[in-house]
Amino acid sequence: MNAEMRRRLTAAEEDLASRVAALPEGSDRLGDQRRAAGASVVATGLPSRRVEAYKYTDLRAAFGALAPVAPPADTIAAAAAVAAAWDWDGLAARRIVFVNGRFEPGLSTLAGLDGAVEIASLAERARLPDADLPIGRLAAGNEDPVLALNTAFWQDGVVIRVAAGATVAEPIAILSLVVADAAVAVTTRHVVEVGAGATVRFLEHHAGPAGIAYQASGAIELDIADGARVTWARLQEEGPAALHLSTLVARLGAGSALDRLSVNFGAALSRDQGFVDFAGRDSRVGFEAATHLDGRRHSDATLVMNHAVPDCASKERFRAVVADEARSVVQGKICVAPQAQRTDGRMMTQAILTGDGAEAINKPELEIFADDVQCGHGATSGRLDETALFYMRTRGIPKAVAEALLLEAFLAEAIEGVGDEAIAEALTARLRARLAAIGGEAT
Amino acid sequence: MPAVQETVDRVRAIDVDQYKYGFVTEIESDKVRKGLDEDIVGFISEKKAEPAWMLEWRLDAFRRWQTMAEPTWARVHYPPIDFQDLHYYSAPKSTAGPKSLDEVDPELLAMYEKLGIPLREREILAGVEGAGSRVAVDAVFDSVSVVTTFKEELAKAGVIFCSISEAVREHPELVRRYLGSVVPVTDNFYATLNSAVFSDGSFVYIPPGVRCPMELSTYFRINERNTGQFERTLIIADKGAHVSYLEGCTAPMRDENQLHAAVVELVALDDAEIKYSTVQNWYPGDKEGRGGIYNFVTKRGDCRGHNSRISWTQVETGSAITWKYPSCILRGDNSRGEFYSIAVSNGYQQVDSGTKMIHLGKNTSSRIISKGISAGHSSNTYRGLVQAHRKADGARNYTQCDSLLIGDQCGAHTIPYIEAKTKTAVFEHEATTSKISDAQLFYCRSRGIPQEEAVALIVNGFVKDVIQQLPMEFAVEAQKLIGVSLEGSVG
Amino acid sequence: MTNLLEVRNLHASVGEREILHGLNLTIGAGEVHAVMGPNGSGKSTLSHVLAGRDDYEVTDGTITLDGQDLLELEPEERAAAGVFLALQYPVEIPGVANMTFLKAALTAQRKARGEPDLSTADFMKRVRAEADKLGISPEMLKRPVNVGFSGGEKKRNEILQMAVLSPRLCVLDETDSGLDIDALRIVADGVNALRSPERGMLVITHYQRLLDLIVPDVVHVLSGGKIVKTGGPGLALELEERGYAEYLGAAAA
Repeated sequence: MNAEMRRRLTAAEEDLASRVAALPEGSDRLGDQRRAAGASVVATGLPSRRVEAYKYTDLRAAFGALAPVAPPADTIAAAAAVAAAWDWDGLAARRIVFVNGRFEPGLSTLAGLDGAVEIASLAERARLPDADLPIGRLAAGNEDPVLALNTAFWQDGVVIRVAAGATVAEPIAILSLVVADAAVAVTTRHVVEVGAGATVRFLEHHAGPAGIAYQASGAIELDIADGARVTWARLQEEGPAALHLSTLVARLGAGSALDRLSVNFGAALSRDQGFVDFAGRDSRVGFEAATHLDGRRHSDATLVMNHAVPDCASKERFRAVVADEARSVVQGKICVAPQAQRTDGRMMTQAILTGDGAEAINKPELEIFADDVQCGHGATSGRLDETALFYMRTRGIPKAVAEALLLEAFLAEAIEGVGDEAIAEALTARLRARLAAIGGEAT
Repeated sequence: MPAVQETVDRVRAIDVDQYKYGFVTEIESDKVRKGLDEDIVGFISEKKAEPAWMLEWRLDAFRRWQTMAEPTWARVHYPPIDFQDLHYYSAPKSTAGPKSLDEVDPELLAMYEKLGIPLREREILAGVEGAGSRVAVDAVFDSVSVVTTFKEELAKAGVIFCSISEAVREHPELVRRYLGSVVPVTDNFYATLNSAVFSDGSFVYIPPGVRCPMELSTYFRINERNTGQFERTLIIADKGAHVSYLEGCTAPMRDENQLHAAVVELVALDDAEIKYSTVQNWYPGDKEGRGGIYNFVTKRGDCRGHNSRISWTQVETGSAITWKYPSCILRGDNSRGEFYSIAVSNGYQQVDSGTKMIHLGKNTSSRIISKGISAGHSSNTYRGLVQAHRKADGARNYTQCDSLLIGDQCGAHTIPYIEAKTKTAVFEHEATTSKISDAQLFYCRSRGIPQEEAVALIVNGFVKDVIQQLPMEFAVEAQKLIGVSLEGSVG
Repeated sequence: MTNLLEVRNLHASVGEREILHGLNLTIGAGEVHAVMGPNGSGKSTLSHVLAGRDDYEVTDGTITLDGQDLLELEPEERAAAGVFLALQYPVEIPGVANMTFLKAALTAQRKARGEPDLSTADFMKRVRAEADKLGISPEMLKRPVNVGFSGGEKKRNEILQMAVLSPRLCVLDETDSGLDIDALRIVADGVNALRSPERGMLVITHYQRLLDLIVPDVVHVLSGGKIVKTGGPGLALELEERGYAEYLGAAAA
């Protein structure tokens, strides 16, 4: 306690305190929520390495200053950014577009979603009298500071409701783009409710300008009702100087399934954190991550898989290729509550280090209170398989090509794990392009 | 299911009171007043007839300790310890200093006999002549070493085996060079406390090229009420030396908790090898969780030389709370560290234990095999760090970390930190959590093996990889001990 | 001839579902009986109920061995009384050497029966002799119980246990499954060697081929949880030719 009181505020923490103090007064629920969330971070400070969950990703050190909230992008620049954005090889026909944290209905393409899917802007909803926003329902009790920052400062986002029993044929993409020529902060918050028995796929894409140290924060609350099936793929291609913070809070009802894939290529520092709660029996979660880091990037994948009920299964696979002096951090925790008998929880973390200064840090945790369970984790780190490399070279494949092929195969396995062929194909193509681009730079 | 249910029911009715070493030895003791200040530190130093430098070292540690806070990160819970409400020195009156065996209080000898610890060299020699299983013992009772056996014979080989108090007086150059060189004075709260008030422990020095002619062992016994035991062990294996060392611990059953905060430092120079085995059976508390030892221990080995090797093997069945992480610093090129552990928790025991393997040198390797067994209402955590530094080319680690749960009132946790900072490091880590399967139990029973025996059999299979690492005589003991520790859980 | 095993009106369930609906079976000492039946007829349930597996609940009927009520007994007590079940899928027990396991079982059984403990030397001699006959290497005896054993090795290991423990009643549950003809022959030879006037055997199988090698005295057809037909060895051949179709109807009726 004493140590905390003596803690010196960083510039970012001072900014933070004044921004929280400047949050609009008023007695509405939303305002209360923002102020309470902001105050909680002011009280604890930005999470430093002394906080166990941020041991390897010290945000107190990483935030030099809080960037000013991004101004709206001008229409032409925003349209140009959307036009330039990758369209998932044509998969992303339905797009919800955010530029600089603001919903852009004019640039979004939502035609054809009709009755099955309801989409509304959170900012617009918030302006309605007596708006009852669903924000914070799943996140209640979650004291994570990154999520709290998002709750305090979100600019806009969407509420998506998928009707019970609906099968949405085409995936729904959520684009978060940044258009800026100086450091800005962008904060979005989405709430997604998938009705009982519905089947739906989401694509999440983050991109922004190179050379600008912007700060992007996104949080999603995903509520999956009984029997629903959700596929969620995200591609993080923030600009190489950006700071990217992402939080997923998910709850699964009985007999439901979530397949989540996270592909991470961008940002100077990124943290993709997930909090998944099983709330009904016989549900299943698959978590896949494919991360490729070069330069001095730092990427953190943190997951808490919370088995609170019996008979659920979770399977996670984190794969990372770490080049140059980059650093990959994976913290995965499987929690099994006393009543969660017959839980099947498995986690695998694998890193290939290709750079002389590359680092891979793994912290796979098990916290088990039920006896009739099968839980385990594995973690490996090392170099590319020399034998495979040699074998390929004896067959005449140049070393660089062989390496790229092996690295692609390694990451593509995780991408394919999402279980959706079209999505996997699109992202594998994206991976291949990235490996080729980096290989090109290197030579 | 019902088979397991039955096991669970029996676990609920557990009786940890079957601890077999719970007797109190009635012996007059010389005890310092409660509390800790510079005077007490001075008193301990004076009792040991220590040179001035040793007292200075202690006082420095004490001053630093006063600025430190108790660590809270471990997954253990206990009421705050009042460090001023403890005695920091207690010794049997009759043995003010190490003596020959003939002079040792017969009460004490009888106690060690009761514990199965052989102290009478002549009888041991008569009994196992030629069997090659002689063990030299340093017996530590509360704060002092009461006797060390086979000293003369060891001296012939150049091996120094004595109490640390004696070493401070007789071998100051060795002690000054190595004490605190592996576990620095300010390493952590308990290690710093130990540095200020350590009362006794063992000292071993194996000279270059010598293979220690017998197993060395220290037997720790806490007898006195409200007494902290702070032993300090220092083992140095000089170039090319080999030694195998075993440590055993017990304490009487008492309602209040007793504090044990030891520091063990191992130094292995070029081509040296140290094998350190522990069978820890401190009193675990009763079935309600009352009493038992708080075991806060810092054990660390420094593979300082090339090709050196340090191996920790531990069988942890006792203590109310166990907080210990026997670690290896792999400094020398091609050095190797090993950690083999069985941690059994039952009743209300809390275990937070594991290891650290710090790879600094080139081509260093480490291996971790940890087997945790939780029963009753206990909590059993493996916490480990494997780290390869930037220059640790070719570092390798293999970790296998398995937990077995017996009953649904206990917890098993695994918290590994795996940090590879060079691409040439190859790390493999595997962890599993499971229970004894109904199919296995039924299979054993259908062959006529009663349920409790079947559980013991399966558990012994589960821990076999670690048991194999123990010296033969102790492997059998350890197996029995695990059986006894889990006895309540299966009837 | 005295009756070794008597099963009367046996009803047994797994969970909510009743699998055996009033099964009757009598095996005399020295007799080998075969129980044949289609999948799902209750063959495995019968074997597990005899051995006392907890998951199976006996709701009605009696089982006696030499007049002693088996249903009263725990699995290990049944083993000591002389029941041996060779499992279709022998269980793996990591870290526990085969030899250790056998010694623990034999010691416990002898103790339960009030017999003196066998000396380690005698025990080893006995195991080695039996192992030799079954082509089980000393190395396999040192390996953990069934861990890393092939299908054939596991079954041979079951027969070895049977030979060493020398039970009154051997129950072989689909012992032929997963075996090629050579392995089958070794297993059958092992079983035949154990035939004796004091011992009864119950061979449970889906196929006739095992019964070419272990020729039974009596063959029963189990269908729908009951014995629907009993005959001589010829019945097995009949079943091989015509299948179980006609009995499926009989059980339903």
